[in-house]
Amino acid sequence: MLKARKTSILIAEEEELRQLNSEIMLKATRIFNPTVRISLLKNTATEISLIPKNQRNLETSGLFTNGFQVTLPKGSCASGQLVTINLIISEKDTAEEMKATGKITSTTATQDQILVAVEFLEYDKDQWNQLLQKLESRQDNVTQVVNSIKGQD
Amino acid sequence: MSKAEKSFPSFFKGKKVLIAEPSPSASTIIHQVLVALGCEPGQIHRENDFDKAAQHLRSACHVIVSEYQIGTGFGLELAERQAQVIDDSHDRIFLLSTANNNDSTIAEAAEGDVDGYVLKPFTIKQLTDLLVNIIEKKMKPSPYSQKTMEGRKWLKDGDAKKAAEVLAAAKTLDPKPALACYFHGLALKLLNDPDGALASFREGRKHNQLHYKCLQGEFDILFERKDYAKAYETLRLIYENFPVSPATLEKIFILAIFTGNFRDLDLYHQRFVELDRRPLRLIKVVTEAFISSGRLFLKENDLEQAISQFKKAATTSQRNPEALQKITNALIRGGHADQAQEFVKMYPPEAQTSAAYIEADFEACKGHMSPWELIQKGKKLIDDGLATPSICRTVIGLLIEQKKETAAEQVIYKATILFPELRNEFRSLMSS
Repeated sequence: MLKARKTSILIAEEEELRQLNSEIMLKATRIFNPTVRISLLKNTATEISLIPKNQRNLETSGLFTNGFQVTLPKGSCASGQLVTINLIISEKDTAEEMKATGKITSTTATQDQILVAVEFLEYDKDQWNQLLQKLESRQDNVTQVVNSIKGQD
Repeated sequence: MSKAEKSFPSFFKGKKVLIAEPSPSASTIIHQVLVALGCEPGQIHRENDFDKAAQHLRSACHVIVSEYQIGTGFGLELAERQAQVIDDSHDRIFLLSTANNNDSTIAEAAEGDVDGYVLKPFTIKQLTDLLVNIIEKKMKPSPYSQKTMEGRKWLKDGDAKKAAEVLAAAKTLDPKPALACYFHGLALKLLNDPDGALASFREGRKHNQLHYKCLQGEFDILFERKDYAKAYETLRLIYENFPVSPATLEKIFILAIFTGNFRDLDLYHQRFVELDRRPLRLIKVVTEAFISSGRLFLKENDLEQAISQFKKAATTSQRNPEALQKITNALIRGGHADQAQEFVKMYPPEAQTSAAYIEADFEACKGHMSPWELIQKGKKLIDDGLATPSICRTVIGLLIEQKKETAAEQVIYKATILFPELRNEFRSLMSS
C-alpha cells in the first residue's frame, strides 16, 4: 500500500517535472523575435535626415536602458547633436511606433561608418521598458534551454 | 557590485580574443563590452570573414564571440576548432551571438562546445550579464565541476579507467551530480561495461529525470543493444522535451522505421521542414524513411498514404533520380504504373537521358498504353540504342504474346547487339 503510494507520488513528481520542462521548451519555440527599426532620425536643429537616402529605415545595433546604437555614414553627425526619432518595433505581423527625442552621446569609427550612441531625452518609458523586459525574458529562456541541454547541474 | 561594473582583467590576461562578426556595428558593441569587462583592446581580433577568423585558430584563441553564420562558414565550426586546440573548458569561452532563434540551431549549439547563446537584438546589459556569468563560472568552478572536468580530460586523453575513478569521486561532491553520472557512464561504456554505463545514465536521470546528456547516453546503449523499442521511447522523451538538432532528428527517423512507427514520420517531418540547415546525411535518411514508409503502405493496400509518403520522399530528396527510381519501381511492382507516371515526370531535365529514367518512363507507360503502343515505344528505344535489358525483355515478351515470332527474332537480334552478354537469355525467351 505504502509502496504503491510512493510510486504514485514519484509518477506525479515526474509528470510535473516533464510538464515544467516542456513549458520551458515551448517558450523557446514561440520565442519573441522583434526588430527595432528607425524610420525617422533627423537633426532637430537643421531638420536634415541622418538616414542615408538609399535606405528607407535603419536597424538598431544594440539597445540600452535609455537609448540605442545605430550605424551611420561617416561625417553624418557629431556628439552632442539633438535628434528627432521615430522607432518601429515590429514582431511578426504587428508593428508599434515609438516617437522620441534624443541626444547623440558618442560616435565610434568602424571602417567606413560610425557607430552612434543615442540617449533618449523624451520617450515613452513604459513602451521602451516593456520591449527591454521582453528581450530579457526571451534571453533568459534561451539560456535556460542551452543550460538544460548542456547539463550544467 | 552590479554585473555591469564587474571587471576581469586577470581572466583576460594573456588570452587571445576573437570577434567573428560580419556586422561592423555588432562587432564594435561586442568589442566595447569585452573592453569594459577588462580585456585589453590589443588582445582582441575582429574578423568579418570565416576563413580569416579560422586562421586565428591555428593557435589558442581563448575567447570567441561569433555570429551563427559568417559568409559561407558556420560559427559552430570555430567552436569545434577552439576545443581541439584548448583542452580545458575552464580556459576557453565560446559565445554565439545571433538573430537566429530557431530551436534546432539553439539545440545544435548547446550540444556542441558553446558556453552561451545571445539573441540579437540584445541590450548591452544582456551581453554583459551573460559574459559575466560565463567568466565567473570559468574562474571559480566548484570542486564538483573541477573534478568532473578532470574526469572529462582523462576521457579525452583516452584513459577511461582513470576517468571512471575520477568521475565516481566527482559524483560524491554534489547532491545532484547528473553530469558526472553521464561522463561516468561514458567512461564505463568505453571500458566495455554497457550495464554499468546504463546504470550510471539512469542514476543521472534519478537526479534529473530529463537530463539531456543522460537521456542521450541511455539511448545510445539501448540502440547498440538493438533494443529499438526502448531506444525509441527514450528518444521520444528527448524529442518531446527539447529542441531537436539535425543529429537527433536523423536518429528518430531511423528508429521510427526500425520500430515500425511509420505513422509518426509526419510529425518528425514537420520539424525537418523547419530546420535552417539540412545536412546531406539527414536528407538521405528522411528520403529513405519516407520511401520505406510508402512501400509499407503499399503492402497494406493504402495507396493514398503510400503516394503521400512517396511525394514527401521526392520533395525531400530534391527530386533525386535515385530516389525517384526507387519510388517508381515500388509503384510499378505494386501494379500502380499510372501513379508511377507522376513521379517519372519529376525527373530533372538533366537526368532524362539516364537509363534509370528511360526504364522508369517505359515501365510507367504499361499503365496506360496498349501492348502494341508499348512494343512500338520499346522498339524505337532499341533502335536508338537507348533501351535497357528490362525494356528488351518486355518487348520480346510482348511480341511473343502477340504471336509475332519473326518480329521477336528481329528484336532479339538488335537487343543482342546492344547486350551481347545477354544473348542466351534473350533467345531463351523464344523457347519458353
